[in-house]
Amino acid sequence: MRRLVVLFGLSMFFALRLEANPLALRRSVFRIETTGQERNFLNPWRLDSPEMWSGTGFYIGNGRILTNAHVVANASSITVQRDGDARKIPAYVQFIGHDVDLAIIGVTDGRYLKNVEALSFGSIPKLRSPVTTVGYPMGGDQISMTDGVVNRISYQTYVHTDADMHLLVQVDSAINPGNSGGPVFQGRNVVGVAFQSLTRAQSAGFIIPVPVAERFLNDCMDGHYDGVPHWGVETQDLVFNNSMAARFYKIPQKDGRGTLVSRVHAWSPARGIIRRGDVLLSIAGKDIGVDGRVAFEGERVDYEALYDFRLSGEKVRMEVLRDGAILNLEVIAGQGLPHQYSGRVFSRRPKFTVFGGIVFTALTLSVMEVWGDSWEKRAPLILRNLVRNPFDLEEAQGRDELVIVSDILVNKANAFVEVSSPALDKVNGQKVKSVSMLHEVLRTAKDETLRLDFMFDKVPWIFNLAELRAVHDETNKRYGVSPVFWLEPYSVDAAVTKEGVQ
Amino acid sequence: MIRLVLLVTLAFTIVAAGPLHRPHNEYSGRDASEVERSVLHLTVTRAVPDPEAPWSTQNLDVAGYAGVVVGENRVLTQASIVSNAVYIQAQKVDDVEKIPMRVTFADYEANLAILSPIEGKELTGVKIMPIGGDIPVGSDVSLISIENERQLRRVEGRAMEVRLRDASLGGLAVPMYSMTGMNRSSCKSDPMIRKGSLIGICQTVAESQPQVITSGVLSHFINEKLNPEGYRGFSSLGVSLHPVRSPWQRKTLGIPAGKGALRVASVNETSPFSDCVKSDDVLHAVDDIAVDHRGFYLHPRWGMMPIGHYVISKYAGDNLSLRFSRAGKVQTCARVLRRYTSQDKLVPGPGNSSTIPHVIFGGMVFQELSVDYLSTFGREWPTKAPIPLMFIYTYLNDATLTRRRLLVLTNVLADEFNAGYEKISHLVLESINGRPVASIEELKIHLKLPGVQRSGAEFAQFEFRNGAEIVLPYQGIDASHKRIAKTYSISQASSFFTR
Repeated sequence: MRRLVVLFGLSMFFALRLEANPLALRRSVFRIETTGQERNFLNPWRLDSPEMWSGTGFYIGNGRILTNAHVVANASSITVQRDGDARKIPAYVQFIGHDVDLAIIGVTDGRYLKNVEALSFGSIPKLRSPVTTVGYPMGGDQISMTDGVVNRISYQTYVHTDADMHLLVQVDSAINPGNSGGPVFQGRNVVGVAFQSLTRAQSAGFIIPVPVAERFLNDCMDGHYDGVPHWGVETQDLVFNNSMAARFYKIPQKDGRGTLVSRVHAWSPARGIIRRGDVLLSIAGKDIGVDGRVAFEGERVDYEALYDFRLSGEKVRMEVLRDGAILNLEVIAGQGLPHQYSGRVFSRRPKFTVFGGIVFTALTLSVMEVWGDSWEKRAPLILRNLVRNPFDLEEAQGRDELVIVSDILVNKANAFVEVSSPALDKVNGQKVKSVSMLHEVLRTAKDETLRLDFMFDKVPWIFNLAELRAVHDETNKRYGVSPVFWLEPYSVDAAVTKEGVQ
Repeated sequence: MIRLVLLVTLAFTIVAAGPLHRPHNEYSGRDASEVERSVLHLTVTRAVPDPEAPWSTQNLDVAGYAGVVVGENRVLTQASIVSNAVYIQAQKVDDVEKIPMRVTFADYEANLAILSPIEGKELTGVKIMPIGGDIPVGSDVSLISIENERQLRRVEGRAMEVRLRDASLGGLAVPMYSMTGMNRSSCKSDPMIRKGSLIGICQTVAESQPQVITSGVLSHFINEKLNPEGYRGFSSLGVSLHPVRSPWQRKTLGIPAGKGALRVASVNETSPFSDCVKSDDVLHAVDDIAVDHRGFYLHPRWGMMPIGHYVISKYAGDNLSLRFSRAGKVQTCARVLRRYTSQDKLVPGPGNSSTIPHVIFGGMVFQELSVDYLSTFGREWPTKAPIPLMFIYTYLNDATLTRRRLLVLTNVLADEFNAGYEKISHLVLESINGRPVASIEELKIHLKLPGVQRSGAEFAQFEFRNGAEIVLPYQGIDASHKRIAKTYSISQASSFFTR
């Protein structure tokens, strides 16, 4: 009997491998080469030197190639090359979702994709099931295949923005630079998109699972990518492992459900619906355990994963315990996050305005990286705290962006200033809510004095407004500042579009 | 066995050869014997409280430092090296006898301490080193250190500039010489001498250059120690002053061109001047000594120095007057200076407390946020300690009359009683049962008051700054404390909350 089980297992394994052979699908997998320029967040009117990098993408039909956002972010030129084909064809970005690290690109010559088989999606792979990663990793120009096994399904940070958490699948096959954006197969089906790895662990790669990719594709169907809706509800997990805490919050005995709401941010779509002290019992009909997780595809994942799958405007049913009574509530998924300073941005330029030689920009993780990889040690403490704990400081609330002074272009009107705390609080007594608002105030101010107050600093900068205006043009000319401001929203992306580089 | 004997013999040979073997850079010459009789080697054994387990101490730490004989049976050294000392010994470099010492007085803000032999012991054969006056910048000096307990090492250098620097993590800024020609990685309370007199004690090293507390500060400390009316210590204004660099701001504040002035940026609630000076006042003079546009005054020996240096030279209890203008009208305000103490800060500096104020409630360990606690995150604690706590220490460290301390839930000692909360750490406590708390004593008092009644039981409800909340019942807490005391070997009953 034992022998039979082993044989059965082996036959299943071979059947799966034979059917899987992704080499048969290799002509649907593309090498992507990108040339682009990183943004300069200290002097935002500048671009850094051009660089070239490569990744992988795969055909999903209708002239669309799916890849990672980080493969084509900030691209000024993209080419795709099919396996076995000598030609490199220009491509452009149709849709890009930095929050989920996915992008759809098209080619300028539609004939190139004729007769290419569109790959189809499968489902979330089971733990310990085999997968095959296909792509163009470093070490050669030829297509490469790596076999591995699914190790874990979890809800973790996507490092492209370093601020967004979503569902992901960990596999034990190496995912190296160049693999990014490549398909991960199980049988003939794509079960994920290779996208990141652990640098300190060998053979620990991560793939974007199908539900996240499908949500991205659905989001793009109306011609615009809205992004994963923001939640803005913080919870304390495991509290109700404590029977007395469960009694305090009047949770029915042996319920086994519930995570405690500790904070609902002002920008949350759940604001006014869910309150601090509520106990979340279920989401979309799925019970939330005391660990803050729900059963999903045979695993337990953070309950937020189910919210993430919603498109903006869709309703999410929540079962909530409040003062001992169970309430059935609905939250409309939406984009509420007022600022971007917790993550990297990939807009055409950082938002900024230069006035009288003072360079103002919005605080983002990208700005922090001006201090290098070890910015968490080297950057000013005030900025580290604002970027890592943006909702813990009352002074930071009620703003669309945190505006900072990123540089001083010295001239006779500003030569006296010394940057102590770079985070701007007020301009002429008005709370600075965004770069755009500051730009408008600076442009239209009629006061004789310009006063800038900074957060957690009691030393204001006081200028004669007319003096600053008098040196404005000459300073910009001397320092080569052009344009002198950029106020487009971050959603206006840097990557090349069908119309060309923006 | 043969190997052991050989090793022991070798070790003895090295020790015995110490006094005879004089390296070329050893202190020598006519003053050598006098210096050898004035600079002692201190062996300090410290048992520092463990902020991660505040009911116990860290591993014993034994280290060697220098001390200078400044009076009969009086040795001057740094306070930080003898804080929490359980045993101190002093030894002349040419003597094998070690004299047990005790700390007779310490000022942890100025980071200076006086040691004396324990009762029944005396320092004999030593020479009192006179304390010299402040020296001009550019003077040649010698820094003396003790190596291998037995050798004095002299390094020649020059006092290049005088700056106000924090004497300790307590935040009291005192004048220090910055030395050149003496590249060092650390100081061990090394004395700086010139012409046989003590003119400074090395406090720290900045960019490989020793930073040496000036003799004026040493004299201030020692004279105060001898003051029959008691130690008054160093003082501070409690007023934050900043130069007005903007020409336009100078104009709007009514500061004439060429005139010096400082803008009052803030006044601490605990400042003696809190009732008469306020933000945006313009300070012109301190005790009729005019400040320049940078906030400097003319020091007779060092030239232009920050006005803060003048304040440091005053004693707590002295009168001090500020001349300032408000809306163009000149006013004068005189007040009695208070002693500067970092205990007035929201996050107090290091001290000598043998115990860390704390309380354990159902396994939750609450402590007052302190520099001692932050420094448990290792040598790189400014970048390793939790950012929100470092932020409070750096930017929000002014205590108010109603908020003297911040309480932190540092960790949870896992027990069945606190199941579900065991992973929580480093949270700033805002309130207990709806009542704000500002000290461990206040927390203990509030915990004794009636808690929150819910579902037929009485609970303690803790609310934290980040929105987190912990509820634990009063019922069963004594039993949990017994388990926790046994599991974590906590012998002090006083660590635990009792009603």
